[in-house]
Order: sequence, then structure tokens, then C-alpha cells
Amino acid sequence: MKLKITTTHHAGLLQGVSDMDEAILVVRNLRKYFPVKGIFFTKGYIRAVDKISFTVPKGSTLALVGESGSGKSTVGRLVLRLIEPDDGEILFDGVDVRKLKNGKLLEFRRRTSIVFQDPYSSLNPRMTIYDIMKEPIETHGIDVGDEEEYIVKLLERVGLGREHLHRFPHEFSGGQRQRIAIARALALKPDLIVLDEPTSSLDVSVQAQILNILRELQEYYKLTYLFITHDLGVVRYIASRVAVMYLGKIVEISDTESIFNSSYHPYTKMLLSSIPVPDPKIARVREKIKLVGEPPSPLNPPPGCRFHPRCPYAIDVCRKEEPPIIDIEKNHVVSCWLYTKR
Amino acid sequence: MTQGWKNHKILGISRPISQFINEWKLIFAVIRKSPITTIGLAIVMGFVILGIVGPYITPYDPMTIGVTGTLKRLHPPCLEHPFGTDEYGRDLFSRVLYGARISLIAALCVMALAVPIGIVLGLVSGYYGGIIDEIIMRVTDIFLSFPGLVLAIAFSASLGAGLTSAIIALAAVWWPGYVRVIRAQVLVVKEMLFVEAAKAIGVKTSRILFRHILPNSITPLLVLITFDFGSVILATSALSFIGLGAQPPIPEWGRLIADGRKWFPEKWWYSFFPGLAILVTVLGFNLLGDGIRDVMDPRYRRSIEIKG
Amino acid sequence: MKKILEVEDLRVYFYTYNGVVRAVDGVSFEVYEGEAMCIVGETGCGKSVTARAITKMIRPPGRIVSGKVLFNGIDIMKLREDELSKIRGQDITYIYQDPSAALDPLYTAGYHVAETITSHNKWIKIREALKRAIELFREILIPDPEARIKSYPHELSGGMKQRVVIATAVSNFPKLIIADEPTTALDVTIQAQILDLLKELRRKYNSSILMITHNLGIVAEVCDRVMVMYAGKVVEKAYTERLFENPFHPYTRGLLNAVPNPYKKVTRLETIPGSVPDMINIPEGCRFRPRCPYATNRCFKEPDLVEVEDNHYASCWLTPGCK
Repeated sequence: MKLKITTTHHAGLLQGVSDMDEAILVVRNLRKYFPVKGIFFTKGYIRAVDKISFTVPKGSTLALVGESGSGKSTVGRLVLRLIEPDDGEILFDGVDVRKLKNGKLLEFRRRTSIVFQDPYSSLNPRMTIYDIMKEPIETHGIDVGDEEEYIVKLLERVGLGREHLHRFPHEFSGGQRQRIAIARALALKPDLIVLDEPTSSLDVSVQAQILNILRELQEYYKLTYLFITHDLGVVRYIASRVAVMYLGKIVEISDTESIFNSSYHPYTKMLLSSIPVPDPKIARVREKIKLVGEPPSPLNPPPGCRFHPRCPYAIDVCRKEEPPIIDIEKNHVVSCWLYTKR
Repeated sequence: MTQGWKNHKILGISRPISQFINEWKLIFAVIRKSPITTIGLAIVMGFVILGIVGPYITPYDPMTIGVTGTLKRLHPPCLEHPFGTDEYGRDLFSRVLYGARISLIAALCVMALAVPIGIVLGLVSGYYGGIIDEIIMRVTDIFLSFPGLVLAIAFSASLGAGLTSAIIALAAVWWPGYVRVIRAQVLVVKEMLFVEAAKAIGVKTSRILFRHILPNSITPLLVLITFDFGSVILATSALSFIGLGAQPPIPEWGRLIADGRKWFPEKWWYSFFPGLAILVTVLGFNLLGDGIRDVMDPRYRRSIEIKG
Repeated sequence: MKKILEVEDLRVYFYTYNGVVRAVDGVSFEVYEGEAMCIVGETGCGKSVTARAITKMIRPPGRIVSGKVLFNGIDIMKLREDELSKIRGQDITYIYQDPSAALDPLYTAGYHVAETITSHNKWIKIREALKRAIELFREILIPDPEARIKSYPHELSGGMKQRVVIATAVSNFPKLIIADEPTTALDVTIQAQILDLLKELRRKYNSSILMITHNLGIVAEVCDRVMVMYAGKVVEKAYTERLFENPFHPYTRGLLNAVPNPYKKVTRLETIPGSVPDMINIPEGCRFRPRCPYATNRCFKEPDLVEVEDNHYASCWLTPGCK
């Protein structure tokens, strides 16, 4: 399936994959504005996701990184059509997700799943683990042979067992619940899993266990992950590519190693220097770029480049026009005026 | 597909029976810890049992006039007639006992009408929001503003006075309260992640409503229904008292109190015992309702821990 | 160096329906003047309970069973409630994880700070206190302080609210600031600002900071000394650099290996097998034994906290000092 390259904006995107056939998910110019309602009419819009584009090659992990208000969680839900996009294209295995209906939509749901951040409210407290795991199988009418055995095998894959089958969610710890959520996500052998900060509310040692399980599962089932997180340490461990978001826009996309070794966007650099690093020697010595001010509200984003009020390198044009997407290296794009002189 | 369920599929419960029984044992243990709740439960259970078997164990026929002979008219309480007799010589104990069944059936009918309407409208209103929500809530508001009495009179006038019209009138007045309670819970529950997870799986909306949202919204409703049983019995009695509900010779408690008014206070037993029956029954439901609310409240469970 | 706080054998138990939870079971440590001391551990290790126990803020079913907490030589455990309330908010102040919970939504930001000042200094009038609030806000880099003192909490962002809380915490020049996961609820970039702020204030006011966290990165950035807790006990205590360079206790080692470090490419994260013990039925002997890859028969007896090298303590039979 060949895609036509029409503008320089798109040119950068396609650097992400060498061959378009490999991408299981292609997102182009995705937009979602949430209306803010006044008493009689709409006061304004929260520009949660504002024309972003990216691709995810099959079998890889794309990490979507950003802080609160960046729109990353919204992207995860838009991609699965849990929220309806306002504009843009979402191509899953070549098919336009936005046009799907009924049977085709159900098929899409079977091939995708999501794991949420909060393990405490993502499982129905009134259902046993067995019921929870059974639900996807029943909904799609898939024949898995002996249902109970199949479910037990799924639970064993994530480190749980048969004895957990008839218990209720409140009897489990956060880490165990997250494992159940992952097992549920695997029930229908999906192609793409969206993971929305799956380890953010877990302890460090539990997080490590979950991350290892996710890696093993990805290899075994040939899964593709869209991994949403704010933790760059986790990104380095689990992702092959990284997209950095700020206030509804993607500011930089590249391979994981490139982001850490040579990031270009000022926000990315600032993000990297803000994370507390668990090594006192590096902590004392590393170059710290001080971030000033608070992130502005997504209701009234600043004109031009959204980052310019906090950017120490801002130049005149940054305040007026939105920066283009530039290919700076192989498989590395950045959206910043500082790099247009090339 | 169902081959894996082996021997634990009864009433749609997929877990082992032993575990199911244990869950209920735990609930009763918690109930037993509170003496007030236990009393409430005992009263309610007594009321239900009497309502079912009452008419079969009455010492005298509650309806027929003249069974005991005219000599025993308006006889005060004695060994043969613990509650005394009425102006026709009928044994009041038998009549009050029979009245339990009347109240039970009346309350059940009202609930059976009002609760499902309330649940369905509450679910739809809360889940879909928007214009549907607006319409349903406005209709609910209109019904809520109706004085129950006026509606009861209107129904009686058109359908003829009697228990049936009283039941219909009460059901019409009662369902809006349930809509609000369910809707409030639905608004909270529909934002929960497991609902979103169900959507992501592709679960049908009807199943989401009845399998995910309703079971998690039902708790406050259960407490309300328990209290309301008592309230409905009281309301039925009130309607019968003013002549709109049960008609003679049906020995509905409110009706009995009204009949006994003529002879009050000399022949006090006539109005007293039916009144006492209402008091005890409604009290029982209120105590049970309080207890259920405490049982459902996780904070209460924790305070039981402190005593440990 | 002068010791501001000395905790000796603190024990806090929770008496629940299911049994006794020995949340803090014999914890001892000290905080010196002007230093930043960290208590690090995972959920359930007892670090937050320890922090609250220092000023006796433990409610039933919890009870401080035994132990001494010496603040400037005085045992706080023996003080009466009214004496304690003089210390709280003045000499020892707290910063908690959720700033929204710490601020009363009915009062302005400025009022919060002013109230803290006037309740400990009865001769100062509200107007003066508000002026001091403006100064504090300026120091804490809250933009437009004159306007901000009139803002209500719901008008402020998370980072801003936490700054207001910090302002209240430093308003009376405390000797010890206890910060319980102060940045966990904040964004990474705001977190960095808040941590810098805390470091700056510590330097300026010469206050000591006792930081409770589960984030080893914060420990490395902010703290001079660190104490690792596991299942209600102290397993290791050292200067930060030494702890990271040369961790003794297997749990500490496991923890350090489990943190994904963005500055290092790791092929595999080593995990600690198993999970934290049931705090009601605590395993016999060393609490980490069921999960420890080096456990031996000796570990059925609880090891003491021993000095294994200069100012570095660990509680494990494998350490040289224990043999």
C-alpha cells in the first residue's frame, strides 16, 4: 500500500518506517477539541490533540511521552475510537478506523485492546476474575475450546494461577490487578495494545515485574504497543521509538536511543534534565536546563509554537507561527524553528 | 463454549457454590454484629412470614360476620380474642393478622411497578445524557410535584375506590424517586474505567448497562427500597384510612383504624392493635434499612475492626 | 554536627479486626541540623506512618506502642497535646502529597499562610502576616504574589498549590520540614522546580528536611543521607552516594536494579521475586528472607542494624559486621 507524499509535513512522518507496509497504525492530522460549555453557548475549546501524525511499525513499541495536559491519554483513546476524533485519519492495518461500522468495528475491537492506568477501577468490582476474562471471549463469540482452561493459561502467562479464578478484584494487590488487566487485554490475541500509563501507580519492584511481563508477551505474541507514559526511564527500557508531546502537539519523534543521546527540541531536553536520575554522581554533574513557568492551559494555547513562553531559546518567529516538521536525522523528526536554517 | 463451566452454573453464578454460600455467611455475620439490624431483620422476616401463612393460621375467619355470636361484640381483649372483637363480633386478632398479607401484597405491587420503571429510566437518563436526560428529568420533576393524595383521589374517582387504585396511585408517585437515585449513581459509575474497558472490548450497550453499570449503582437503591417498603405500607394505610384504599370488609390496617375511630377511646383496642401493627412493621423496615446501609458502607466495616 | 531529631526504637502498631499490623517495628534514625534525610521504601513499608508518628499524629486503630522521639533533646512522645501543637506548624512542619487536601477550599492562599503565622505568634496582626505571605510567595517564585494571596485553591494549578503549602510550611522558620511524597502528584518538570525550591529553602533557612519517597531518583537528587525501609524495619542507612555506589542489603540492591534509569541502556531489569509480606503474619526472622536470593538458615533469626563501613549501616547477616 503506497501513500502519496504531498507536503513536507508528511515527508517527515514517513521517515519513521522504511516501508509503509510494515506500519500497523498510521495516524495523520489527528485532532480533538473538547468544548467548554458556558451557560448558553460554548465558551471555548480545549485543544487536547491538535493535528498530530505518527506511525507505529508492526511488532514495535511507540512510547508517547508527555506531562499532564499534553494530550497523550486522549490520543490513546482516539486511536481506539473510544473517543470520536474531530478530524484526521487513523489507519489500522490499512483500514480507516473512523469509517468502521457494526461487524467491521467489532473486528477492530477484537484486534485491539487497552490497559488502563488505574488498576483499581479498571476491573468491575462485582465480577469475578473468571467473568472478567470471559467477557471478551463471549462478546466476540470466539471458540477457544475449553474456556476455563484457556483462561487459566492466560492467567498463568501473567504470573497468576487457577486459584485466582473465582476471586474478586478487591482481593488482589495493585500489581496483580494490573496483571489481570493485561491478561484480559490478551484474551483475543490482539495485534495492537494501547497501554495508558500501566505502571505509574505501582511500586518500583512491581513495575519492573510488569514491564518484564510486557516485554515477554510482546515477543511471544508479536504484539505492537502504543505505550503512554511520563516516565522516561520506562521509555528507555521498553520502547523502540518515542514521540514527545506538549500541549496537544508532537514536538519530536525518533528512535529511543536518539532521544536520549541527541535530543533536539528544547522541551525534550528540558524533560530529560528534569527527571530525577537515580544516580547521585550523574545528578550532581549533569547539565540542567531550568524550566520556568507553568504549562499554559490547553484552552488558550499561545500563538505560534506552543512552547515559546517557556523556551529559553525562543526567537521572534516562534511567537508568530507554528513550526514545521523537520527531518533532522534518519528516523528523527522535530518541530522547532531553531532547526530550519538548514 | 459452556463446556468449561462444569458444575457451578446456577442462576448465572459461575463460581463454586461453596464460595457463594461463604459470601452470604459473611454478610449475615456482619448483620448479627449490630443488634438493631438484627431486630429489624427479625421483624421484617416475621412480617413476611405472617403475610404468607397468616390467613391459614387465623383462629377465626376474619371476614365472616357473626361467627362468634352477637354477644361478643366489641369485646375487650381476652384469652380467646387477644385483640378484642369489632362491632360485628369478628375477632380482631385474625383481622390484623390477615391485614399483614394485604399490606405485604400492596407494598410488593407498588414496588414491582415503581422500581423497574425507576431503574430503566434512571439508567437511560444517566447513561445517555443530553436531550434524553433532560426530557426524562423534566417528566420526573412533574411527577414529583404531584401531591400523592390528589393523584390517589383522581385515580379512585376514575377507577373506583379500592386497593387497586391506591396501588396504582402510589406507584405513580413513587417511581420518580428511584429515577433520581439510580441516575446519580449511573453518572458516577459510567466514568469508571471498567466501563471504558468494556467499550474497548466491544461489549454491547445493553450489556454494559445491565452487567456493569446497574450492579454497581444498585446499593443506594437497595437501602432506599427497604425504607420505602415501610413508607408504602404507611401510605397505603393512610389512603385506606381516609377511605380511598381498601374497602370493607378487607381488613387493611389503615381501614381498621378508621373503623375503630367511632369507638375511640372507650373501645380502645379496635384502633390500637392495627396501629401497633403498622408501627412495628414500619419500624422493622427502617431498622433493617439502617442496618443494610451500614453493612454496605466500607467505613462501618473498618470501625468493626477497631474493636478488635 | 548537631542532631535535630533522634528517633529511638519507634514502634507503631495498628489493631485491626484481622489482627495486629506492625507497621513500624523498631525504627531508629537521626536527622542532623541543616541536612536532607530521606526515608525510601515501597508501599506498606511504614515510611509514612513513621513520618506521622514523629509528631504523634497516629489515630486509632493505630497506636504508638513504644519508642522515643527526641527533638532538640526533648522526648516528644511524653509531651501533652497543647505542648505538641506548639511544635507542630512552628518547629516541625509537614508537606504532604496532595496539596488539594491540605488547603481549605474556603480560604485564600494568603490566608493559609497568614493563619499559620498568627496562630504561633499571637502578637502579629493579620495584616502584617499577609505582608509576610507576599514576601514568602515572592521567594518561592510564585508569580504576581500580591494577586496570588487573594486566590482560592481551586484557582491554582497543582504545582502552585504545592508552593502555597511549602510557603505555609516555611513561614515560621521551622527547624524540621517533613515532606511526605511532596511531588508524586506533580508533573516531572514541576517536580524538578519544587525539588530545587526545597533545596534552596533548606540552604536559606538552615532547616532540615526529612523526605519520604519511593522515588530513588529524588533520593539521589535531593538527599544527603538515606534510610531504606522494608516491612516496618530499617534495612539500610547511609550517605546517599555510598548507598548507590555500594548497597549492602539485598533489598536495596534489588530496588536499585529495578529502577529503569533513563541515563543507562539496560537490557534487562532485574526484579525482586515475590511480593511484600502480609504485615499481620510477618515471616519469622529477617522480613526479606522469603524473597532474598541469598537467604540462608541464619536468616531465620532477625539481623541487627550494624555499621558495615563508616556511617553505613545495614541489617543483613551477609554483611561483614554481622559475622
